[in-house]
Amino acid sequence: MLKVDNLHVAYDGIQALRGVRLEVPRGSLVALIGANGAGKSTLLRAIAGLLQPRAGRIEFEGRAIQGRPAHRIAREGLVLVPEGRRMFPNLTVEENLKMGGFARSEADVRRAEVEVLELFPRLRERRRQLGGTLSGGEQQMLALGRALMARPRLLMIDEPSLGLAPKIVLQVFDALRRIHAGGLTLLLIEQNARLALQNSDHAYVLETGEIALEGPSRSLIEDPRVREAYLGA
Amino acid sequence: MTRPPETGPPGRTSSSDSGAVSGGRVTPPAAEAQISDFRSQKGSGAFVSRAFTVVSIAALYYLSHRLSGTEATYLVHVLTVGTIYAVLATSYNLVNGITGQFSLQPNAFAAIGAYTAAILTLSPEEKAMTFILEPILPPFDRIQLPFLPALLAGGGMAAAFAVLVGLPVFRVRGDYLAIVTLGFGEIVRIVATNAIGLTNGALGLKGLPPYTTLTGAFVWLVVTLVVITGLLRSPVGRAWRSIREDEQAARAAGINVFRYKLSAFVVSAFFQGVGGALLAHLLTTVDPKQFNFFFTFNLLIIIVVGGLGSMTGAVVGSFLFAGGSELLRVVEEPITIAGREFEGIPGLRMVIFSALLIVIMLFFRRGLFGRREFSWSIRGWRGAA
Repeated sequence: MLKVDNLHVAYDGIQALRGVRLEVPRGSLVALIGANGAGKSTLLRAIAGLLQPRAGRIEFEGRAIQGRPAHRIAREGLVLVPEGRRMFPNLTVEENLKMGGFARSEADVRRAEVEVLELFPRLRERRRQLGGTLSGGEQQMLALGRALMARPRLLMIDEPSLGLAPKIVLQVFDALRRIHAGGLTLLLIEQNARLALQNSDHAYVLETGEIALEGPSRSLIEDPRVREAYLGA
Repeated sequence: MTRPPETGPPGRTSSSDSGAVSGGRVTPPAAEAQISDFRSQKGSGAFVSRAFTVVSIAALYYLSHRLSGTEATYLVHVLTVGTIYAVLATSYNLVNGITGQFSLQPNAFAAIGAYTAAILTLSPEEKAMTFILEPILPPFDRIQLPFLPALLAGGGMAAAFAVLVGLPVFRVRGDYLAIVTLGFGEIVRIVATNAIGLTNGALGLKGLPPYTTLTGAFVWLVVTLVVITGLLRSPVGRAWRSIREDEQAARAAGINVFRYKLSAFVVSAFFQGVGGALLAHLLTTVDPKQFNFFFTFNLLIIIVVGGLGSMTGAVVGSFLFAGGSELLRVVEEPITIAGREFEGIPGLRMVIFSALLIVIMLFFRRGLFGRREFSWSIRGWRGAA
């Protein structure tokens, strides 16, 4: 469904990604793990069109999308949940959700809203509250909910566990599993490698801008290199 | 100026906990009903507040009309200036406060609007008398339009220039808008000084018909507020605010950030063009120095004091500023205190304004109104403009 080939991205001449190759098949949950600064967020941002790659090819559902503006890519159904629970703090929960469905028809938005509120009942209780007044976990759910409002076909999530209490992280992952079970393809970045590998079908390990390892998550968990570097075992 | 109350009639709200929640899931029919509940904001409360708004607009209109006919010309003049400031400030606020793009635009667009309208309303005879350095360029020597088309032309011209300026500026990110709009204001001023065949150069245009009345300015303020608040409540307004909140997230949500920044800028420029034209036809002169940087700076004070992002704040700030600069005139005139005469100090008003600004910034970090708006609702202030 999503294919990235030989992707190069640089910030002010410093290479952040060197020839990254990655594939996300339809219906899968693919995880991308790696240390701080390995280039994980850069990769997602480049796919989403928020960064312009220097070279390489990004294909979504058979069409090349590299170099297209971010809002177009989002409308194609390839939606990013940016890092750090980026919702709109001074808009209400309800307005935040509506923003997510910005490019969709009124009827679509209404339907998506029902689904999202069903998935996150907390958001229903807080729908008139400002996004910024929610707790960390609720904000992450709002960010997820907003992205779902766009009715994505592939959802990319950047570090959903960042800065959340362990219990809340489990709730967020529980929500992700339910979203995935509903048939949505997911590409997930996660620093918490164990959590990522336990919850995904396939995983890539990114090290200093290159894919160091890849394989089915089940076998990566057993891989001695992964165990030593990322699982602390 | 008003917003519908936040919820529908009591009793239909706060059912989220009593709804059909079972095992963390809400059954779809219940969910559906609830959503339609908060979607339709046509409760009796909204109707009442709308009625209040219409009645108060009508009352203010009548009042402005009555005042215009009285001897209180000074008061009427100050109120008219305040009303025009309010048109300029609310539209400026759209770019700076709502969309969150720091811009220093109003003097440029007000000047464009003022000159455009003035050239169109001056009678051919008046033009022949005014343009002593160079005759005015044809066909403008013969054109004369009534006030409304001239105002619309002024606004339209400002909007057209906003497109020209905005197209390149909004392609790049960052704080370029402030620099470019500052520079554009200077360009407009220099062009106005040197395009003598169109603007009469440094002498300016004089003897404009005094078309601007308090009532007329008030009607334009209502139009400005209706258009802007209408847009703010629409998806367009949400897009503008989301850009202020987080531009990247807005892009990731599928919003064409470039287009929405440009549209806010153009709408804002249109009303600034109209505001400039109203001001020109109140003072009956236009000259290049009138729309210098301080013009913009005063409006910036108004919207910051009122609260960036609050239209209520922009309106209140405008009248405080217009009234305040008149009241403070005292300090620049010679006064006698306890038998001793003190000479007035020119410019002291601005010193006091600056001191007040500092005080307000110390005690009201986000301006007098923050982002709140006036509302008839008894629940009081509505947050999150």
